[in-house]
Amino acid sequence: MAFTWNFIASDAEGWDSVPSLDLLPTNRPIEALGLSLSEGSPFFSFYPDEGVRPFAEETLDGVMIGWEDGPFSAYCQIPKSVGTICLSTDKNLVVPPLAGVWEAPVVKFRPTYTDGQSPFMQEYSELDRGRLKAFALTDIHGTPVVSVVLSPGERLIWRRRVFLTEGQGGVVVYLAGLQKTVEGRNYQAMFYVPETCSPIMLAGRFRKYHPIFYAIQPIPGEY
Amino acid sequence: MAATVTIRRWTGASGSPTKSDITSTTNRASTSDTNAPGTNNPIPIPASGTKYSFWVSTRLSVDATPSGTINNIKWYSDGGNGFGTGVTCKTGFSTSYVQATGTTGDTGNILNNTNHTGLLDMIAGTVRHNATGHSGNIYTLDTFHFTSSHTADLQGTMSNPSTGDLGDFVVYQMEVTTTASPGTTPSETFTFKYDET
Repeated sequence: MAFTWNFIASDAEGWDSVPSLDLLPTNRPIEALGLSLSEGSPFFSFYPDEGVRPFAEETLDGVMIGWEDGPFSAYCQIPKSVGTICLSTDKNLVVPPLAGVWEAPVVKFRPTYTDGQSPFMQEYSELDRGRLKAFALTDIHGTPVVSVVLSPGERLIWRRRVFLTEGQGGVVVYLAGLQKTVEGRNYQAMFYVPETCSPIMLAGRFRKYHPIFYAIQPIPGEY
Repeated sequence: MAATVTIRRWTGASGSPTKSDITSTTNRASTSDTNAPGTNNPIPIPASGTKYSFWVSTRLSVDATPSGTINNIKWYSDGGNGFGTGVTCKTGFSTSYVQATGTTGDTGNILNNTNHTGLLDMIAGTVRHNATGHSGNIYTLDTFHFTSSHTADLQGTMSNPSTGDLGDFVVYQMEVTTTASPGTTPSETFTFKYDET
């Protein structure tokens, strides 16, 4: 299955598309990079930090998108068909411990521990952060939609971000990602997944004035 | 399990307020201290000057406990005044509930820190609300100053096992001047957002 590459350049509004990576503009800052399976809005989109240019490459299994922000690097593997999207700061680990074909909506989360156990969990407070190897947002069957693979020194961030509008009810976006302190600076790489799973978004550091990608307020044990 | 959270409109005396769920119902401002006024007691178009609605007090309510913690509460409008010519809206924030006052059917009392003694100063003291670009003591701002990327950052946190009222009040008031047109205004969207673990 062939992807269509989409991008939002900083000097334009809305998505533009090109049929292959080679045709992405190199002389214009990219505000967002997306993937779609046909014409239309992307099913996955990446929003690089200001001044950070993403790189992408097609692999045997799909597409890898990544970025370098000073001493911090992150990689995201997107499978060719509908499957688990994985995030890691280690290029060699950007394969989910559990993977599969999922169905929207995303409803649960599921950790994978260093001993290989991967229990279904109800409460964030039940997580054993000391032996956490990976963390996934899953569909109702427990199949991971997105997976975050952690390396030593990285902390998991998970939130249920709720938008509650008078007269219209609520919309939920799940956050799952990692935080790492490198050379005294705080970096993040985060998935933002609507309940409907469309589109799955990826971004770097928290942004103070962004409608969705703004910072969390840490709770004890996070950082 | 995720918490059950609703938006509540507070009306009535401060000792025994009515807290109506407006999460999924149309919420209207009027010249009465009524939780669901419908089209009764509309705000008159003045011959001169300004007529005010009774102020509207809203706040989050946690009706079923979160599994973990709720925090990081923010509030914003859609950023554009769509009420029409001659109609504006002001918003302030408060840690306490003060019943709306005025002359029913005519005008509310203006929303300021004299009539609503609980209003927070957005500049002095603890800067809890984003009033960038403004100076002096500010108790209310144009509602549409607050947008999804320029939110009011509210205080409030709740952890398991707890239920009840949560966070600062958002208090807003419609203002109608001589250039307004008769009839029901278009609707606007006001949104709370929060994080939950």
